[in-house]
Amino acid sequence: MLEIKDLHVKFHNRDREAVAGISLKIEDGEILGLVGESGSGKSVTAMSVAGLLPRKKCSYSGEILVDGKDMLHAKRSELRRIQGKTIGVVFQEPMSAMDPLMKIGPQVEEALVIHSKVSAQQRKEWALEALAAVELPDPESVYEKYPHELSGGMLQRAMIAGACVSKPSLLLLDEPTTALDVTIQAQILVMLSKLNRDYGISMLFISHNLNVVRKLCRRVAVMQKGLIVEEGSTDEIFYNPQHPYTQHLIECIPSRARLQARPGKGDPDLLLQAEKTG
Amino acid sequence: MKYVLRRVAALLLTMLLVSFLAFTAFQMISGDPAQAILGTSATPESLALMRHQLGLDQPFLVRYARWLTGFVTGDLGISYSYRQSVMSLILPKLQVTVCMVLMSFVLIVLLSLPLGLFAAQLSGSRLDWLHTVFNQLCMSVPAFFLSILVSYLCGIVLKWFTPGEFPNIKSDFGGALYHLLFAAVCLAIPRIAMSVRMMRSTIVGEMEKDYVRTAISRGNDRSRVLRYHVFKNSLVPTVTFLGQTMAEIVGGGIVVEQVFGVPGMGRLLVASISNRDYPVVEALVVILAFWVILSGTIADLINQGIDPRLRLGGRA
Repeated sequence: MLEIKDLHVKFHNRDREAVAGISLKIEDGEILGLVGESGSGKSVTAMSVAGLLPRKKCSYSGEILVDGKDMLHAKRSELRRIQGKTIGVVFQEPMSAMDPLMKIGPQVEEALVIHSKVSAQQRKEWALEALAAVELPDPESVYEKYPHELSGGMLQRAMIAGACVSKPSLLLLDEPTTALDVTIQAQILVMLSKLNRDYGISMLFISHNLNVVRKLCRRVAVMQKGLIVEEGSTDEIFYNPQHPYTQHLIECIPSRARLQARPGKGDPDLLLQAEKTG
Repeated sequence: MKYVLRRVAALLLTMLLVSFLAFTAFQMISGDPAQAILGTSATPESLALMRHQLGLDQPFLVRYARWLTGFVTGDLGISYSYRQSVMSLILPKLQVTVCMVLMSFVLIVLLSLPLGLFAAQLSGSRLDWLHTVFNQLCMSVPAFFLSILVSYLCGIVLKWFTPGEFPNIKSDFGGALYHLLFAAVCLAIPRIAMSVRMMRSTIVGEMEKDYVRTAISRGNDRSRVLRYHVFKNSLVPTVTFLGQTMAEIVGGGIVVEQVFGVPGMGRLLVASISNRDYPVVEALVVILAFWVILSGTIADLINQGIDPRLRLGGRA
């Protein structure tokens, strides 16, 4: 599905490479978690895959193959044919990522308007289907609403609907739940895994929160300073972190489980037990 | 519909306040109108009679109410110096000025919107300096100086029109409009430059916003993003600016009217101020204030149509 080979990205106004040579692979229908703190290069990686790098402002090398097509060096016009059709993107802040003056419906439909030549009625039907698929109550009324009339959680669902409306094979989720409260976050994670199961959409899920990633992804890669420091199955990484940075990330999780697990800090068995009971 | 009504109510209230302030101010400065009308030949008896005829022996609020009802019904009083009703004096001049200002405003809107979009697309490219130079040039030339240039070039050298010979607007409407066109252009050019500059910076700012990135991630190209998303989002500040422009070109028009010899409100205002013809000045001040408030209100209503977030008090 997606294969990143030795990706380097360096912005002209920075000394350090934002991405300093990473390789990743996502199989068809897989959800890969990409974890790291801010500035670790995970968003830049996603933007490179989405073809959203400001090319004039940075230098880059390597290969990003989406279904065998190199996104990194493709022409703008070729990129546009992939953006929104094969790849959908969901950003962190749904409030600012939506056009405030356009109703939800047309925004969800936009990828269809650009990529497919179906009638307006068909488009609306598909948009309503997508809004229902992200479990928004009453899609018909949401369709007619403006972004400021919806809550953050509903908006993010609408964003996801817009990214999925043309049935892309890859969904890039850049911290999609970070701006939302915990309950909504959990609901959206469940909804995403359902989308993955029902439609077979592969996903790259980016978060700084390992705990969130663990709920959704089987496999996870940990990034620090532009490099992937550890990669493996989620359970492996969560219960048996090898790299000190990963261990540090896990220690940062402020969960009930961890509070109950004191003083046996980092003890995997205790953690597991606490998770089950808590 | 609710917000439209609310806005119109606010408009009326503001107008009432403005008219009251204007009336009070002119009551305080105008001295004795009876004396002004009768001049040196006045006797105490004729003065008293005249005061009674003008209603000046009534209390202040009664006089205000009378003046206000007169204003609403079109009776603006009698001009001191021309001895005719202010209404018949102002109306033909008002027509001329309104024609000129509207023509100028249409030019501003029609030219600055596409030019603003174009300038925004140039930003960051190699031709950006072209915009900057041209824009600064147009903005820094005052309208009255442009008027002198145009009068000389188009009027005296090219003989496209005869400066100072303004056709009667009633008998030769087309000719009058043609004459006014030159004034309208001079009035518009610096304003167009300002609007273009304003639009350009707004659009460039909007292009940096997150929703633009979202739109690109859906496969939009730059021009489609501009047309479908950014343009509408930049429209609110632009409309506000155009509303101010609508109000300000009336003031700027006074000078331009003088240069082109257009018999508009500007000339009447200047003449009546120097003659201390207060009923005329008073009427003109209130009309100008009304124009300013009306422009602002229209701009606000258009903006509420564009941006649903501005519709306070919920959806209608």
